[in-house]
Amino acid sequence: MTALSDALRLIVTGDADVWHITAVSLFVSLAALTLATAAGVPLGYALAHARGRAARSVSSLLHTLTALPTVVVGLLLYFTLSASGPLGWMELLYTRAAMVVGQTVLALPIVAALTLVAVQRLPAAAFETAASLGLSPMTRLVVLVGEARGAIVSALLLAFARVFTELGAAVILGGNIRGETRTLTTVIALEHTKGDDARALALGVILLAIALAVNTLVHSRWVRGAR
Amino acid sequence: MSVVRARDLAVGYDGRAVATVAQLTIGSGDRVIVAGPNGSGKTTVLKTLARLLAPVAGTLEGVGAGPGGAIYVHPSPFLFEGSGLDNVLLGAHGARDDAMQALDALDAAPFARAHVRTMSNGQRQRIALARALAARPAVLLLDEADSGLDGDGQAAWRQVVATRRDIAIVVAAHRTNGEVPGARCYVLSAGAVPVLVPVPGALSPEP
Repeated sequence: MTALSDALRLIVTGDADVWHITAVSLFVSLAALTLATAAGVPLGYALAHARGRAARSVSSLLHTLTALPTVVVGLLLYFTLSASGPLGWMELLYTRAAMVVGQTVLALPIVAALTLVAVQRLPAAAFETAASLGLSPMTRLVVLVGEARGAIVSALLLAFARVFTELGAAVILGGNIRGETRTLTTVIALEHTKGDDARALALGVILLAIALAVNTLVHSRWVRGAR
Repeated sequence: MSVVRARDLAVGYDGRAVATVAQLTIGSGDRVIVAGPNGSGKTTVLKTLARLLAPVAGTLEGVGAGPGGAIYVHPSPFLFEGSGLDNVLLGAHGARDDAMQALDALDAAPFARAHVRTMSNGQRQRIALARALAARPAVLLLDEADSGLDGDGQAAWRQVVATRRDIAIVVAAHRTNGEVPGARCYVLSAGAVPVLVPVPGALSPEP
């Protein structure tokens, strides 16, 4: 209960630090989700149409990548983005941009793999109708993804939940720099190591409340109403 | 001028023939009935003529799928999310005049702005036919797609069949005495791999 009242006090008193941390968390995760959607939905859609062994390999690889440990993604990107790494010249390490890259890598397989399944499960008549009407490839993508939108939106929710609550990539790539790259999860870990478990728990409550609110809102608006 | 020419055409899935078409030429504005019992391959023949399935063997010439070509309509049509008008506009590829004309032809304009989920089966069928018409097809292939029409829809559809001589219409039906005036009849013969053959002298009555 103290955690809950601490959380409420933190929110009500408008602790500037907490607001900033929450804003950074949301910004990084939403930016990553946007990028993963822009790339993952067309990728999953294209794979749903592809035949042959190569397409099957790519889709099973995608399904495997949904289980990528966040710390491993953080580490691999750390080596890539560090000063001596191949992309070191971009000087992205310990910035929000680096965190966005890390979370995009985590979200992309979920979005692509579940879009693939959602589009594959559409009735054959949907594909045949689109083909018979001679719809352009772009129109076809729009209407068929539209038909599968219930399942795709719930894939986006799952991807958001994964990146918004992850710690490994955020802390390794962001570096937990105050006022810059601190997020709810990285600060929770930090406060815990400092021994301030009350504050850590309070931030945990905020994290949970946001995740819950986003899920409830999107679910009632999109997933339940759609086929 | 013919829009579809098939000779020794084997139709099927994954390289396996389920039926064959000995010889079939569909001219511009023709009316053709493809009859046969359930499971005899009517749908496979129509989908192949509509270029939705690749031929297994033989010769198939003529128009391709899409606007100005062959348009196939399912027995219980698939309508995309949105209003009836949205669907017909997809068929018209954005040409609003074509869409409105097609809706009028099927007497479907009054309910076209409703969401397809709220429509009756008969209304959905009319929207699907209007969507197909709006694509200005050379040949329309209906897989028993007129069977679910309600009274008003049937009257409107008969009018389309009677007046739109610019469109060839192929209808799959259980029997050859379908309600397509002036149609040539073909039937899928019995057998392991049915063959589509003409029914001599079987013409549906003129209106």
